[in-house]
Amino acid sequence: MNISFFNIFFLLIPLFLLILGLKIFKVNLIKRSIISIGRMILQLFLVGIYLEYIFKLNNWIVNLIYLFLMITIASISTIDMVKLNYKKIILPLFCSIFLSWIIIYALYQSIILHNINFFEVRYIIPISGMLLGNVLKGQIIFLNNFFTQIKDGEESYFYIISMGATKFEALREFYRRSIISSLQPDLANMATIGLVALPGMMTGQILAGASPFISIKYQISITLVIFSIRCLSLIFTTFVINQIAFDKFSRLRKDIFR
Amino acid sequence: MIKLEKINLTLRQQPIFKNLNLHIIKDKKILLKMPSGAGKSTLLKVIMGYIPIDNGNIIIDKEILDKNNIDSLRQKFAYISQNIFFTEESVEKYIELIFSFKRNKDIKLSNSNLYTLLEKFDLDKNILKKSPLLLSGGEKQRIALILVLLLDRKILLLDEVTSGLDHDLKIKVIEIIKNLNKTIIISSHDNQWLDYDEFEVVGW
Repeated sequence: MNISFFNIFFLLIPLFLLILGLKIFKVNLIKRSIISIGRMILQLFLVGIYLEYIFKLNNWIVNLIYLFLMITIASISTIDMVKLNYKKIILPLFCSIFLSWIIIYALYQSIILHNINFFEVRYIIPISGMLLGNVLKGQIIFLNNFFTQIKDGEESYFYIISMGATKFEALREFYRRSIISSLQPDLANMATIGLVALPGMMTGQILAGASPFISIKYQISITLVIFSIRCLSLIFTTFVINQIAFDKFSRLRKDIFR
Repeated sequence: MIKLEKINLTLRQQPIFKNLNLHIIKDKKILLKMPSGAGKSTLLKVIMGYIPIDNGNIIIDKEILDKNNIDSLRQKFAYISQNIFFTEESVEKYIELIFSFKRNKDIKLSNSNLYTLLEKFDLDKNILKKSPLLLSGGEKQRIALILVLLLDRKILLLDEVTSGLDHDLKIKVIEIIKNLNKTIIISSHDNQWLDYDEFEVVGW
């Protein structure tokens, strides 16, 4: 069933009444709500328009360019959130995310979607979007955690280096903790999936008329590859950090921060 | 053994060392006794190659410290600083971790040595089963020292290793360090070190 924009805008009226109502608690979020809601509507509108085009074209080069764009934006957002130096990190991080995506999507395509053309827009764009969105979340937690830890624990790092550890041996504990904290939200998410909220993709498929059983099969397969890509991208990024964030003296390079 | 030649270092626009020269011969024990902020801890880190210097040379056993020999030169040292935390779930596991490093593979961890050292440093054997999170600052400092002695490094750089100890323990630890046949550089605010002639006081 199609829904009308006119009706959607009706939803804004109760929403703004509620936001006004929050003033009882001296919560003044009117300006921020207007900006956020406005951005949400505008961005989705634009996405709708260009996805219509991309879907009509269904051209593999266009799809690939779109994916490159998504990966670039994911890399930039990560660097932005972790406050790293763009120039130093952008290329290695891009490679790490790109490699993770190509390996995991190729795996998914060849095992689950083997009857479908690799660049078929209806599959590659939304599935890659879900994969990359999750990579983004995972990378931000991982990198934030790692650099905070190594800055706070620099003396311990130096101590253990002086006790004979190689750079990797000395950093292993920092990596271990950061990887766990990066994967934890996803593990928790998988453990409670479907108990309260149905995952967005499943909801979408059901609303679009698919049988619940088909939609859970998609959901299970996607959830598995999401976890896989989060693991894989952490492995690649760990490798990247090990290479570029430290100098020949095994010291943390100050110039990788902004 | 250790020679610093014309070391210049500026950190956050603050000049720390200006043409600093220092020569430490083998088995000498040096006490850096200076006010806070003079760069005592920084000097130890500079010798370890942990802080890049603006210019000057660090010469260890006639070798100028650079990126090619840093790993092998660091193996002559042990460095203990003020704020270290141990990983792993118990002190014992942490000790095993240190001895599992590739470079330490050839060193045998002898339990009898470990127990003797624990006793010497006034620590109970049960501490090995404890989680590192439950150790006091003084206990951590002593465990760190024990590990350094087990690895038997030639040069020790000790940054405030007695700060978390009570008076009697300070004396005990200082006396152990005093009798070691090693080149040692100590940075400390504690005055008890001054009571021993073995430590030569150095400043700049």
